[in-house]
Amino acid sequence: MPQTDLRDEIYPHIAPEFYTWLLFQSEVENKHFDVEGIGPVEVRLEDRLTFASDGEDKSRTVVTGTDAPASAETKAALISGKVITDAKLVLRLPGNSYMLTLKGDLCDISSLKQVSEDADESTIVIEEDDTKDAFLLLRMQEYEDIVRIIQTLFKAFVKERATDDWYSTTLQEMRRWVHDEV
Amino acid sequence: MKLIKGARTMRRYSIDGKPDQTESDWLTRIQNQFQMHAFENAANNQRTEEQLGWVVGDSLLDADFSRLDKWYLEPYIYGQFRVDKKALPSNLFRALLDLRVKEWLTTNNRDRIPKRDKDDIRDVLSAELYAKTLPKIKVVEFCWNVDQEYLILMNLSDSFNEKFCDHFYTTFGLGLRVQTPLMFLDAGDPDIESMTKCGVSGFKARALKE
Repeated sequence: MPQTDLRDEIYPHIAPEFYTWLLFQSEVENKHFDVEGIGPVEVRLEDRLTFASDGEDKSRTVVTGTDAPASAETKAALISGKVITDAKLVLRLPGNSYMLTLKGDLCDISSLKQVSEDADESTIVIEEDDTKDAFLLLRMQEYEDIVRIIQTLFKAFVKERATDDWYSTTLQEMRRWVHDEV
Repeated sequence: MKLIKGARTMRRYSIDGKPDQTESDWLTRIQNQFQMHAFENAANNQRTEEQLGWVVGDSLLDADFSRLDKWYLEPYIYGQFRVDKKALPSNLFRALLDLRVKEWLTTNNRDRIPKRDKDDIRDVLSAELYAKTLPKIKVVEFCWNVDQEYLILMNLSDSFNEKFCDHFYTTFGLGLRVQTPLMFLDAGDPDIESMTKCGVSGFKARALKE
């Protein structure tokens, strides 16, 4: 009989916990993550966060605006027990930046696009003369890079979350920030 | 193609197995499987209810997989999953059915219509209205990395994803396992079990004093 793979199950607490950790990395820690084959990557949460109540009442709260990640509304939502369900973020790689939203329990990638931080426009424009095949290969390579980055971030999160230090150190620092004691 | 243009939204799957590429005709086999489960008569609207199948990446009207370059670019197999659905306006259907039943009663000088005759009228009316109704067409791109055994579907609707997985299995005999966050970890990672049990951290409490 095949063994059950725990990784196949969807655990509704894991993605929200990861998103909250990403928020903390973006707003407080401000560090770069070294991604194999890509280099240092910076993560910044952007202008839209979606929260849901953790209990039976599944009401949604959306916090928008350029200062959404550090806003009083975001902190109030966390203090009230709401969890982050969707997080819009920018990944800054050497030479490139990508904007995307991580959605729901599966960390689905939504609205992924390359952005020029100067012009706020895609830096690659598809021209008539470019072949479709070349662009398909390029886009899939980009996608695979993005997945590798998210995987690196998730592994870094798990490394912290799965240790006892989470409760004595990381969570305390996150609470300090949420309650404006940083 | 959404795969290459604009902002992209996608769900990722692991594939249980891959085509045996040591066999020289493996792509022909995939081609035949695509063709066998392609969207039938893609340019025709004269159908009822739901119809689904594969079409190539460039056009929802093209269900011809005979040319390899329309759906294969090593190591990727790509295309679109098309689902057409027709729905009749139920209030209009009921009103027209009542009208035709009344006409039948008058023509046949009867007070009641036998069930079989009413069913016949319903079938004819339904076929007439379906023929006049355009389907709602949903077409979603996918890209399958054969070497790395994963697939992305450019859609997040659970019901659509379910239909896709069923049709993929029917076509290729390969199961799709949706990518969960824990799949970012290796199967033997010692932290998997503790992550399944850790729960959500609360922020109601303030930090402990240092």
